[in-house]
Amino acid sequence: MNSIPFLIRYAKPCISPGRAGSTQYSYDTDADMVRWIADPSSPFAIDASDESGPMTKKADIEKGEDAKDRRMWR
Amino acid sequence: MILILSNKWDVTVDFVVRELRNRGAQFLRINTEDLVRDGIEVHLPEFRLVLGKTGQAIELQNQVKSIWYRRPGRAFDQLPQEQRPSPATQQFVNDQWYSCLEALELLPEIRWINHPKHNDRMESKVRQLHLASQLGFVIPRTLISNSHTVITRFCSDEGDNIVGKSLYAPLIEEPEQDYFIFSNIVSTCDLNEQAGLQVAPTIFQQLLSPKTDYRVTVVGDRVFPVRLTSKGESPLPLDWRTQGDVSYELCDLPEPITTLCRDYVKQNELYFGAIDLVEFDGEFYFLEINPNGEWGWLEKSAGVRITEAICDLLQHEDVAHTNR
Repeated sequence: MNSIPFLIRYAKPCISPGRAGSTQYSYDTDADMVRWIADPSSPFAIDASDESGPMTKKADIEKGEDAKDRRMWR
Repeated sequence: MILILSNKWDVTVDFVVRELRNRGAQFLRINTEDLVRDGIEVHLPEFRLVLGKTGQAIELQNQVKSIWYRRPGRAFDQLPQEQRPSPATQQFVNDQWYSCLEALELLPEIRWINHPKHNDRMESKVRQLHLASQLGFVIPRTLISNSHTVITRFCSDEGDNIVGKSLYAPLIEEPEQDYFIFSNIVSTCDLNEQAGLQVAPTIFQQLLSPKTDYRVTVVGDRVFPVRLTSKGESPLPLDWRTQGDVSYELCDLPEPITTLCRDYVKQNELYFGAIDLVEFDGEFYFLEINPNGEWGWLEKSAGVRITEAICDLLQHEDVAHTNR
């Protein structure tokens, strides 16, 4: 029996960074927010004008809402 | 106190953290992957729940009034794949953490946004569509099946073009590379492999094209509808997420649709929900709800003030607000 589900043929590689983090970003434990350290001024990621990196959904599109909570509470 | 359960790389949380800080609200962000280092204590029979954070032990009972449940991190999230234990051991460890964190449910009179059990229940596309239809939404004709014969007949009945998508999270996490399955147009000729269809049920739907996409974010009683359009000359593809250049514009929906969105979230015991609608042939169709959906991208690109609405809910200041 074929064990490869039908939809796998449509699977596309993710471009999102994993939860292991990125060398471009750093978590500021004092602010409890992520900083974009690739920029010399280390702004908060949500203030960066560049759309790259783990800022918002567009850069984390696959692992956002569709990754769910992986049924954490079960 | 407001408790935020998340992981450190979920930057959407950062919007709320900054807003709460600006408001002078008392809050605690716990990136749960750090609890391995920072610790958790649950004491019984006199119930005490203590979470660690950067060297401090914080007593939660009698303090927490709201919990924002926003994708808690897992014990091995910060480790490269090659340093993690076997998947079975990871599962064992995660299960212990989840079971321990369930102690949060014992905190009295908490407003959960959203309660994880309600989130989980509403992750079912079958339930979502059924409840939407019952409430009064129009939904696409839908088949969920693993029967090659039935699926092929459905496709034929729909004019040989249907939409195929996954019934649950379409993320496939392989050791070296993660994969994602967007919504796809499926024709009869794509359905030639019986065994692949049999091995897992798939959701197939009526193809609604041409269509206009909407993302409707509901926060308590407030409804934020956003219309999605292509920045280029060609319309958005079937799954707009596959296109980079998308415009997001805060818009108005017909009042009955706005009311349906608000009622749908409320009736399913959610405070937050991100609903996908499409407008096709003069009708608004409900596609799905993401009970823990993304919204930071809307805040930035369309100026939708979801942060404020979430903070109001977390601070129990939503009573006076009306829609938008």
